[in-house]
Amino acid sequence: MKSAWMRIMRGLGLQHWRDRFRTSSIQSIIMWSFSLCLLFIVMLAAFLLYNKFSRSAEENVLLGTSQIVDQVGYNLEDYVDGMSQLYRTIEQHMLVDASWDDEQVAQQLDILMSSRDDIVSIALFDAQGELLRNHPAVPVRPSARVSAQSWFHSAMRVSNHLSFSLPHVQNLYDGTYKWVVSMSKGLTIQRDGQPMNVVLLVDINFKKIDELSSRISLGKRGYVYIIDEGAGNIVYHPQQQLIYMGLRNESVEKALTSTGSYIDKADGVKRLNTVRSVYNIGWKVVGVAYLDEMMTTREEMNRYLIQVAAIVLVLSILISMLLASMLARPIRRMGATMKAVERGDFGVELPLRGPLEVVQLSSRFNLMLDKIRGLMRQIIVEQESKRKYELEALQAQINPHFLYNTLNSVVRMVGMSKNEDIITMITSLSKLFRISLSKGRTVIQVSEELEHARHYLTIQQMRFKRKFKFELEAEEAALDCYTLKLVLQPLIENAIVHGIEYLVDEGSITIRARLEGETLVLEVADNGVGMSQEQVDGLLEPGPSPVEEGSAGGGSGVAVRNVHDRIRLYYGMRYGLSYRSEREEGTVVQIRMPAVRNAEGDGSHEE
Amino acid sequence: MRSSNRQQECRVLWRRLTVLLLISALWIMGMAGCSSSEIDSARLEPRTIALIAPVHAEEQGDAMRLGAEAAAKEYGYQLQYASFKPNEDAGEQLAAALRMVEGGASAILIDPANEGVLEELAAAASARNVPLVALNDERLVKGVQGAITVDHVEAGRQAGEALAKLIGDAGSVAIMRSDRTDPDLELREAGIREALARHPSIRIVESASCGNLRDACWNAAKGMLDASHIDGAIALESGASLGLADEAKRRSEAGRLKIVAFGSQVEQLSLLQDGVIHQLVVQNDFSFGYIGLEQAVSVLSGKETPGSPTMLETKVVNADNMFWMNNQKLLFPFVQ
Repeated sequence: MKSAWMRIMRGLGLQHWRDRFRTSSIQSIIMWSFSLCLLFIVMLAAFLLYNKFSRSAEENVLLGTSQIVDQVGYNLEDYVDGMSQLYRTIEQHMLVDASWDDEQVAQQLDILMSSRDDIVSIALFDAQGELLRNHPAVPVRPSARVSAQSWFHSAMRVSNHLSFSLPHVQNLYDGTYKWVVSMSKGLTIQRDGQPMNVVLLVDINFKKIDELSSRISLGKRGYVYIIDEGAGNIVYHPQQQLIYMGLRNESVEKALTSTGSYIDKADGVKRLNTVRSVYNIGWKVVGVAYLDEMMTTREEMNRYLIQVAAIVLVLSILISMLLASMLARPIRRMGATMKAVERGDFGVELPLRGPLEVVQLSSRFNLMLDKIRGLMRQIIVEQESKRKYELEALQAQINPHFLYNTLNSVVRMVGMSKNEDIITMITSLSKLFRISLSKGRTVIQVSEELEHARHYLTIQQMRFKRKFKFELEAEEAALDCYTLKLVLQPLIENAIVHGIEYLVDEGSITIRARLEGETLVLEVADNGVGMSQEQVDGLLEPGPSPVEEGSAGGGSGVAVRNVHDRIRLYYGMRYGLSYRSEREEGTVVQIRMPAVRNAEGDGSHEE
Repeated sequence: MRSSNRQQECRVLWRRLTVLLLISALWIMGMAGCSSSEIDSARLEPRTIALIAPVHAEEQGDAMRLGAEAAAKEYGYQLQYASFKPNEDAGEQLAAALRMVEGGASAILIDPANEGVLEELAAAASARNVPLVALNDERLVKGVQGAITVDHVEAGRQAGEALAKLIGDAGSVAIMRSDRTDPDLELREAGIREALARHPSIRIVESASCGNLRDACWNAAKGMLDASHIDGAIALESGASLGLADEAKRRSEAGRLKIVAFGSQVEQLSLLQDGVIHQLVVQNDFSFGYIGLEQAVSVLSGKETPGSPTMLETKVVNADNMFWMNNQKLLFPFVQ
């Protein structure tokens, strides 16, 4: 699953981009992701808006066109209704009692004509096309051929039915050629007791309908045209002449058969055709709207949306750049400070300002730096004391005073010819030095330490003329453990010098080594004069100790404390020396340190 | 040191990028502002094309205007129309046309009164780089990008054939000319003569000539008819046809004397209906306006124009077919 994903990523070259993304700065990551996110949102919004707008624009065009066409249809219907009404009025006035010659009729027609300027003429013909009466009363020209006119035909064909002709040029009278729509009806009336077929013709000016239709425009180029439902003849078309000339084409076939809207193509341009029937006259109004005009609106909107998107994108990049640099600045500052620390400048400090997280981080960093500084100081102090102690330990290895005393004793023994003792003493001395040197190691086995103590005690016993006896007791397990070297010798020296020397009876010193769990305990016990609790308390305190003052052993108090400090430096603060003493009873010193069974840590302590 | 240098470079880069983005933002905003103002100005002032009507031919000019307006609406132009009163002549036409050129019309359509008007206007128009289309004129003088005319020879032929048919292929016919020299009329006459020559029994007798005045033409016709017996006559101009018709009526020979004429004036049509004039050769003035404007638009949009004049067809109408649906719109273009 994961490997497949990786393969796809690699295939798309995304791996490369992901790697780049990983290695690029926070600033650019924030900036780009913020910008991309915004871009995506803006694009999505623009897309949705565009869809919504274009759909509603389309609907609006459809709705608008059909509303306009409906309006034209209604107006036409109303107009035709009005004209039919008028026709009936004229019919009643003129033909009641067949009295068309009446003076009164003439007056009534006058009033009618003057009230409606769109009535061109009223005329009554008999079945042969001879004029019976007309208004205004002008002679019909002989070349008019009334009986051949289409309105006469339709009136004669279906009697008592009002028919509307197509618009045509009226050629009945001299001097005028007006475009009219003829309303005609064939009627049978009783005249002088005889039935008589007549045709009543009312010509209405086509101008009104022409104006009504030519005023309508759908969009910039759209228009309205009217066709005759019966034969598909063009009643009105703004470019009627061009169509007759064959310069233009209007496909009326589809308009004839359809009732709603349909889309056709003319000269490669899509057009929306909306058809509405005008029932009372048998015509059809067709509205033609060009869809490419709507497309231009759509394109304009598209351009506008792109502009908006571009502006938003640029602004968002700017904002995200600001934001990114604002967020990245404290991090960069932190980085610079860390670099300074890296170079070794521990004195720097981060200012505590910026966002909450940055302040927290800065304060943590400052605390950490503080701790590092403290530790460094501590290390310096510890290193210094370590060196000092080791120097002292080195000095203890070859205490010239001790050597001088020992050799003096040897000389005395030579004078007394105590050969046995001399051999013992010299042997002990040589072994003492061998162990105390122990190839420069700082850590030796407990057995060696005890050996060292035994030689030391042997020498001191001889020096002090067997004023004390000594004993070494060690657990088998403790012997293999390791200890700092020469820790016992200062304590033994102390026991002899301060405990045993002033004792009247024979002194006794016992050295013990044992394990208490994981703790190695070395003990030096004497039955000397002992110390007061005050003295015991002051013994391990830093500063001049009361034991030191005026003592012959000079400096041994310092040596004891050095042992204590060395152990604690090496093994930790839990370990070290502890005294138990009672006046006239004796003193017990315990050295406690961890039981170390191998000397691997030894090397690290060697300097 | 090196890393701090890089940081500095980075910072400079960022700053530059910021400035660049700011500039581009301003530019885009500026673009948006500009484009919207462009749309506004385009909406306020659509480009105009001027139509200069012919002199002494009000109806013809109005028909041209209808055609030109239809085309102007289709191509999104506004039409400016200059018409003339009957007493105005070539001078006024030229002045009006030059005013249109000065007024910043994108293109000019003109039915020139004479060659002088066309040449002078062509010079002025080409100086301003305004396309010029001549209507009803086949002279493509320098500076005229297009010309629309009818095939006058063919029209003459149609008239000749029609007359030959009317008089039954035999008899004497006369031609009423104009008293001015007009190459168009000469072409018409050539066509007539060519057609009549195909009928050996038809003899062309002495012809008369007159100007644009009806009375003068009546007199000329009277003289012509007095001079010899004539079975049929062709009038090259509408004025001549009206005079001829008047004389025919006066002699009560209306109907017997076969008259064929050019033009579609209302009086001519009325005479045609009444049978005084027998055939009319008509041209579609609406098409002149429409096609003329179409050509002007195609010149404006940088398309090649046809090197030769565009020829339109003429149509022969008589009393029987003059009220046919197709011919009504041609003969009576205006809804009154």
